[in-house]
Amino acid sequence: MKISHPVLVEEDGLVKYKVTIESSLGSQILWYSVDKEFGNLLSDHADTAVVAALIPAMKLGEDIEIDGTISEKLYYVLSSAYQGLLKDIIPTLKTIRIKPQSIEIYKTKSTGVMTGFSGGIDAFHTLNRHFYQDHIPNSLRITHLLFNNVGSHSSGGERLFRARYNRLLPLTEKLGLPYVPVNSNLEELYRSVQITFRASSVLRNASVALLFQEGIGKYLFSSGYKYIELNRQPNVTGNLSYWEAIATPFLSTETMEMFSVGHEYTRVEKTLQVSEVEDSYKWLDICSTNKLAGNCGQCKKCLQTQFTLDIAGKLDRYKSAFDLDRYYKIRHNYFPEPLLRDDPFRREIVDFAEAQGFKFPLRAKMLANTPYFLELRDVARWIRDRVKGQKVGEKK
Amino acid sequence: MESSLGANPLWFSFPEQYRELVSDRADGAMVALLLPAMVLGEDIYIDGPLSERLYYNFSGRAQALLKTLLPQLSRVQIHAEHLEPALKSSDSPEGVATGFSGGVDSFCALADHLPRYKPDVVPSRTLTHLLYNNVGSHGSGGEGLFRDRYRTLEDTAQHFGLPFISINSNIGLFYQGIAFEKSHTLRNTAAALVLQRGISAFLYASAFDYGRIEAKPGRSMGSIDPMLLPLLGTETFEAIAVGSEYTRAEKILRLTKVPETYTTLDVCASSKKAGNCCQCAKCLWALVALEATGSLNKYSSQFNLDRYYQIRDRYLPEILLGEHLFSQELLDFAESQGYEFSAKSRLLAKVPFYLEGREMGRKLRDRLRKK
Repeated sequence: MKISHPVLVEEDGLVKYKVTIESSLGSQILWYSVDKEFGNLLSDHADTAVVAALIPAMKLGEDIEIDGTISEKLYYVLSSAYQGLLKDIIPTLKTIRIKPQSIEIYKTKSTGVMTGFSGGIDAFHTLNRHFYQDHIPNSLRITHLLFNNVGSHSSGGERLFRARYNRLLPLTEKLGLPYVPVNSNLEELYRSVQITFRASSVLRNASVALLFQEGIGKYLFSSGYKYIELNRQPNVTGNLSYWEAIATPFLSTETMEMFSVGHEYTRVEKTLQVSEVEDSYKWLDICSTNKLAGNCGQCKKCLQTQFTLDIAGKLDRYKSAFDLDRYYKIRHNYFPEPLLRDDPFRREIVDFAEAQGFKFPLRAKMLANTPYFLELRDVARWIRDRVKGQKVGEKK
Repeated sequence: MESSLGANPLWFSFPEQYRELVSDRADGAMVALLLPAMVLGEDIYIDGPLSERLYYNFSGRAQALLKTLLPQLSRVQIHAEHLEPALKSSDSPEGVATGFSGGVDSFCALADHLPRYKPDVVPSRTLTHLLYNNVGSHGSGGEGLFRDRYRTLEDTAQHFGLPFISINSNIGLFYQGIAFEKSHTLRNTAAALVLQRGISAFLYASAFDYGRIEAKPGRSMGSIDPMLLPLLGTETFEAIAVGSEYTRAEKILRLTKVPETYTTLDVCASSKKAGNCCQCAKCLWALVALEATGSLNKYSSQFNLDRYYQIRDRYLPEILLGEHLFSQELLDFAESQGYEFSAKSRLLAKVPFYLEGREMGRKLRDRLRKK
């Protein structure tokens, strides 16, 4: 795999970081675009491109030759230990060599502190710990917020990226924090080697963070998991998010320190802490559906968050973020789900509910014990939706 | 250090010639004493200059991580009188250190960070110093064994042309009741951190490959090295876990290409004397792996090979029956190297209750001997 020298070019009021990647799959242009007003933060080093291309190159088993400069610290890690880690998570990857044009010990000391801000529980939790609170040392106080389009918006793509960004923009303006949108075609590169977002999330987001080395010295990743969740369960394989505590600090350069935050709290604990942040009452956005910005109120993430807040007696605070009437109507349908206790979040929600004295209805317990309950329910929903669709069609 | 257990000084001592590397900041003490304070459930009041970064990590994430391993620990508050980023003048040395015990992990770290074995190692990760600590790893052998082992490794360190710094300490006094296995990363990093005036990177040879990394109660501290070490650094000192990209067997294979190991490799877990006993689980595991690589004879000065061949067939069934943490790894490695376990060992592994019977026989023999 050959990667051209990164260039920063101005196009239509945007600054674009561009490289051409040539591999056995052909020639592709990888780009990231940033509003011109943030152009002064951008670096034209090759760190972004190498971090972005590492998994695709390992999947193809092709050495990376790059016509640019990368950080010595990053080169050291990506050449050895990091590949070992990735191979453990994605066993189909192969060890490769990285051959940069030059390796440098960066001397720039940037002072900005940046984090990705999606409006979710983890992101609000990070904002709470590193911005809202008074006793934060200046070296760790957030100065910039980032919003990426590197694959997390799934089928919603660029449209959803824009909608979600625009929804949160007024909050960031109120806070006085620059909110930097970064668009990219990185997803195409990963799609071409059939690597999912969850298997590569850390590297995708880190590649964006590394763009900003001219102004940002610390990048905080909002982690979704407690340390104890990294415990060799079958679902850990193929999911880089479980490994954030290891995978993130490795991607630091001499100029930019990266680390993940929030591993010391469960999602329930974070939700409770966030529920004391007034701004979250309106702006919380935890939805995993790919249709609209804001919360659908019905997906798994919406329901588990509403239920947690409900049990804690704090759901009414969120009447601007969720359709609460709808939630109270359908919440009984959700009760069996956490009782499956088949992922960390479900387990902690049940533990929390029971600790708060909540009694799950007998029906929910029976359904949770029914083999293939979720699958059967999904099939029933699918049939119901089809029937409804046909009826609507008949009426037309 | 004053606690509910009384007042005791914590000390680290270094040979005089390394005085310029030694920092008088409180960072090393902080790393040394966090775990003992969490065991006691006592908040820490610390008087010397403490790194802001260390304070931040130790107030939250490091404690949470330690509690996953040792759930009985209590969360404590850290009250620092002087929070000051550690600063270094531009002419300060940027030393890169690793602990050197002559074992598999440390030799592998050495081989990966010296140009003679890894020509493309970058300058900022090229070793400049080797450390040898007395922070609890010598078991009941204590300071005597520490000195003996140091002396046996001195020539090798000299051969590499690197300063070999012996660090003595009474840190073990504060870890009574906390096994070395459950605390070694903190003990060793604390000793290295005291040298942060001249050392900017500490490469910690991790014993666990990524496949064994997990934060789970009861596990060895090595199982969280890659998560814990980044939390132990300051503004001028990085602590980095190295070697997790290899399994132990892969490390041994790598060492067979490092001639210095033929006369220096020391893998022994017994705490009686320096050198390899050839009977403990660590010695036997390494011997089988070396035999599988076809390089065992090169290590004849380090191991009593006659003794090994005598007892090998009684040990191999333990591996075949999965008795050890690393059994499967050795089986896979042996297969990859085309090594066949002896017919006798395979037969013994099939005898019902072979290991239990052997253990009973051993106990009976010991009793008769005593009588």
